[in-house]
Amino acid sequence: MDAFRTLILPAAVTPLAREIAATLSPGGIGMWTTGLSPTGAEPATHYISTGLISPEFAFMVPDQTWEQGEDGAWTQTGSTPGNPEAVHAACNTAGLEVTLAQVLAVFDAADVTEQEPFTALGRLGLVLAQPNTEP
Amino acid sequence: MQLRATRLTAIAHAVRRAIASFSPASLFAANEPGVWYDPSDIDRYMTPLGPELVANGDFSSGLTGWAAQSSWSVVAGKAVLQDGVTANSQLAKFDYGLVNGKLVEIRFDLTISSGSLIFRPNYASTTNQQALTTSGTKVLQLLVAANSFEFFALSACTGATIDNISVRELTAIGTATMFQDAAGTTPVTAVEQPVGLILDKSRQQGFEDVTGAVWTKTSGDGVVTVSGNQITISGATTNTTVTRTSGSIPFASGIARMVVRADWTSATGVQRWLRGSPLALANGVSNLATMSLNNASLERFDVSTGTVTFTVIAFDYWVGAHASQTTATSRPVLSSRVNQLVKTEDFADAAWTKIEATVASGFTDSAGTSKAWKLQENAASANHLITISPTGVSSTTNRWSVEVKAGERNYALLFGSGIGGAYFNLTDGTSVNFSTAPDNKGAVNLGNGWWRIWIEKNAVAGNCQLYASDTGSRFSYQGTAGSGIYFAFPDLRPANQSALPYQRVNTATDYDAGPAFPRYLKFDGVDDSLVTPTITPGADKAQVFAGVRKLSGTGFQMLVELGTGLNESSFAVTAPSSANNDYDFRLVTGSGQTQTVYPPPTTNVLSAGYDRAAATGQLQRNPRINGEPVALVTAVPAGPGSFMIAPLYIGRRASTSLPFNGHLYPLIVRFGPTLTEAQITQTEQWVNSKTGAY
Repeated sequence: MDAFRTLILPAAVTPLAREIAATLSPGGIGMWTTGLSPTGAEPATHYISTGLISPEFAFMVPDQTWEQGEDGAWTQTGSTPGNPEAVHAACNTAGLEVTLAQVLAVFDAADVTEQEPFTALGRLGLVLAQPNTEP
Repeated sequence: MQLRATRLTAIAHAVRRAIASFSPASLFAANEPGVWYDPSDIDRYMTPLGPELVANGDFSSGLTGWAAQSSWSVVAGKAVLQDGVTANSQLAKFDYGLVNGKLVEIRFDLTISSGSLIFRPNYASTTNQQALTTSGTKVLQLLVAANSFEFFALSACTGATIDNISVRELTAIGTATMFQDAAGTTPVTAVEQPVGLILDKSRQQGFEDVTGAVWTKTSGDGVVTVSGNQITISGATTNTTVTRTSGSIPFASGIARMVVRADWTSATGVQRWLRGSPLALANGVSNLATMSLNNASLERFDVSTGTVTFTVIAFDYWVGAHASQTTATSRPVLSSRVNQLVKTEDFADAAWTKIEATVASGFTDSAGTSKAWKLQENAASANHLITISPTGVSSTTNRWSVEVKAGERNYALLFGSGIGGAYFNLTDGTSVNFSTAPDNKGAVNLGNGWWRIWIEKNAVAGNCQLYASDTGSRFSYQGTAGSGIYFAFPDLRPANQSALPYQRVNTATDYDAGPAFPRYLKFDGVDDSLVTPTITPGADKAQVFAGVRKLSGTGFQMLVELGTGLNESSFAVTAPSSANNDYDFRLVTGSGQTQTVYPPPTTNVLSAGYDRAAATGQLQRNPRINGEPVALVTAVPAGPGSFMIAPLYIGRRASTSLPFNGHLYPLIVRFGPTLTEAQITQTEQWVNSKTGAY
């Protein structure tokens, strides 16, 4: 059974995360192409992917759970670390030269939840970054 | 009045007959380029069922034919599990005629009072194991890998009975038009699954048979003989391969399908390759039809050791501009959800908070079944209510409704934070507003004392609450333990979907997806999209028909676009265009925004008759919404010329920006001569029959 996840990354780690995801699975090619920023103006400060991922992929990535209080404030109530060692090993097997420290850096920076994307964006104070001009 | 109703019914039947006799395939009769996608097609290939495979599934002959351990008995025609047992709790069926690798529908009636009963579709494996905790008719669609199934209690349960067990093959799955992956190997079999590939039906005159294939041994020590559609590899001790070396299968933008049977007594490493993708085969059976969109020119059979005969039952090819998405998280999801609540028939669940009250089940509801519950006060002087907090509800005119019947109390307060509330008299259906009033309210008499009461307001819906009331003018009073009202079938939805029936929802992925609820592709407004291979229009005219539910009113959102935008020869439909709650029928680089606004969420059938040779920007677009022509605020005229040769992007510009947030029902794009008024109307009505917009 596929699992729903919303995965948000800071722009700085996104290029490496794209490479890792594409290495792990053909379905990981093309992730994190939607930019985010606090105001909606470009350049993007973060990138988002959201949707169904395979159980194997869900097992490897970290995730966090959050609860919203009466005052609207979010509190993190749990997390799982994912499996950075397995990701690192799979990348190396597939020929992607990446260190465990680099994988850990991506994992540490990742905001991964089961929240609907616009709920997660609201929690982080981000919106889609779109061009200002009429297309 | 009766005469008028009869006449309206006759007209409705005539319209349905007209729609039923029309197929969008007729729009492509002269092989006009274009696409036709239909999410409701899942009903066609998930409905036809083969013969019943389970004998004595109704236990009319006791436990004959069942492997039942001692804790099972048959009482009143049902298999009954002794309460509280875990050991000796297996009820199994072996060797019932199932063919491995088939997609089947498994159905049974279950009652259970507490705990859970485990169902394993494969006696020897936990794959697809289900823990059953609620009563009802269970319907599972599974790709099975064994000729056995069983029920058992892993932990103690009570009140567990099973009846009417049925297993039937889904015989039309081989002609599925939606797949979870982009390569076309795993069909979509239920709502809430991702759609990585949806087939273009505009060329579907049935599959094109790929005959004339020549199979040649390419490696290994096995002896290969080919006779007609049978290929036999004998006595292999090293991996032996047979490859198709000629034949008429094209390798352009189409999807290939191969149905093959493999028979052997002793063999290993038995594989079939389709367009470069290997698939291990099961022995002695016809495996599920497998399709592949890959363009690799490789069809092959492998046997590592032993002797195997392959029988190619079907090898064919479906041409068309099939739309796909390779990125897993960017695939739209097939959906049919309307009701935003969960656990709508299980009020004991924690999703429903009971305040100074309890709930009891098993009462007769308006339909005569036993799905009604009772909201029972405690003895406190307080509010006595049941409440739930829905999530993901849009800011729109929402309708919160529930069926209620008087018990010891004759009044109910229906309240929703953000919606307001109203007191309803359950003896006559009259109502008075709560201090925070809804915009609209009403009560529909369902007979036998039952009413569906509802309130509406244009706001985000928060908690949905149902109170018992002693006077019809207050909600806090001295309760009498056990007194209260009966209720069933709660529902929260946008008011403009109120014509659809109540929808049972257990969880976000388990809900009533019956044919009453239109099927759609859900685009998340973030990164979902589909793209076709390159289409060659060869025309300066194009027609677009789409069933759309728009969930956002601001910012350009790309519903469908030819090419990557900002070029000289494309078209696009955006929903909306900017902050105007409109639709934009764009042509070349010019906008064509509708004068009328359509605030979200709104469901519409859009159509456009693009004609670059026409005299004005309006005539170059000919936009219509819900079957009526619409005027455009801006309609920038385009120059003459054919539309560009390019892929069609759906849900996102160039698969990278302007994501569409909403639902897409059927989508038809046709390049060719302008359609007649009758053809346009028929097509719009057909799309609307799958959308429910008007």
